Amino acid sequence: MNLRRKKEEEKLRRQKEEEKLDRGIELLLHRGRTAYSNPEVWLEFREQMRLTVLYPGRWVAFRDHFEGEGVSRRLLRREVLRSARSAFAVSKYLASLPEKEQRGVFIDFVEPR
Amino acid sequence: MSNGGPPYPRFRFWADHNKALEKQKCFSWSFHAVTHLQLLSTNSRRKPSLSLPFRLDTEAFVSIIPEEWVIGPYQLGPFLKTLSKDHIPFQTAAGDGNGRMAPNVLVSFTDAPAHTFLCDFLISPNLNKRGYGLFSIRDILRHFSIRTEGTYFPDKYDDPFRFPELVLHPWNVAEGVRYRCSCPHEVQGKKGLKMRCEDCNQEFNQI
Repeated sequence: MNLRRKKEEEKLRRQKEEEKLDRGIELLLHRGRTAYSNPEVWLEFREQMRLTVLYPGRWVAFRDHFEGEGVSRRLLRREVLRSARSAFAVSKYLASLPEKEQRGVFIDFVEPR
Repeated sequence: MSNGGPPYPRFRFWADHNKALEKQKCFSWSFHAVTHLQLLSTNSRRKPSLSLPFRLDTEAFVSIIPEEWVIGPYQLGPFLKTLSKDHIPFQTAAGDGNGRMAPNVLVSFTDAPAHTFLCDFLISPNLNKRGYGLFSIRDILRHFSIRTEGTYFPDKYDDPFRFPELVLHPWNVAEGVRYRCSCPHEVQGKKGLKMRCEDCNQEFNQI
């Protein structure tokens, strides 16, 4: 019961985060989904904006998920693993992951707006 | 769906939205390039340091580490064999400062730990509170050739949409032999390979 409730809460949290991302892009750039005729372009642009909109002033550890290669490589999803006010906290989290899981994870500071 | 760990170290580009630039009707984004390093010890019992974020700085005359990383929670002291007594001045794209030198520190990139190299670091309090170090172009060119994967694409509103990556290929790797076909496409691989280009249907020749 607890596990199901946790999953539901997590699902709700993610949904709210996605809504916050859409609102944040609208506020920052004064446009949203309807400005892009190609939904794939909108989705990729939206993932590029995820850190800028949702994590200003924070250090973030994340992993990008792509489709395709070279010039046609497309960002499908920017998976945020951990965020914190200090780079040390995020680095420490990264070090706690198995070595294989550390590959492809980037840490960066998102400038405050 | 993740692409997994890349075989070569790389810098990735990031965009920061700047309201001051937007207010001045300038292109409202600034870019920076990021990678991650780990300091290594010659003592095999000691684990590598935590993953340290570095930004590429083409103005920095050597790579620079914040002093708080050496004496603070990162505890990098044991990875720096020697530290100079004298402070030396330096200049970066963001300003001036001074610090002590830690020469010949063994380093690898976090996402490509197989490639280790020696790097001189300046230890400076001027970078404290930034949370990242500065990686000098000197340390790239000494050890790596630079290639680009992907390209920069703005969307129809001229906002950054897709970025290339700078991929670093070590000089003098065992498989560092280059081949060319008549297109000309170039590839790198082990010595003695037999390959044919599917575009021109010609064999690749070693160059």
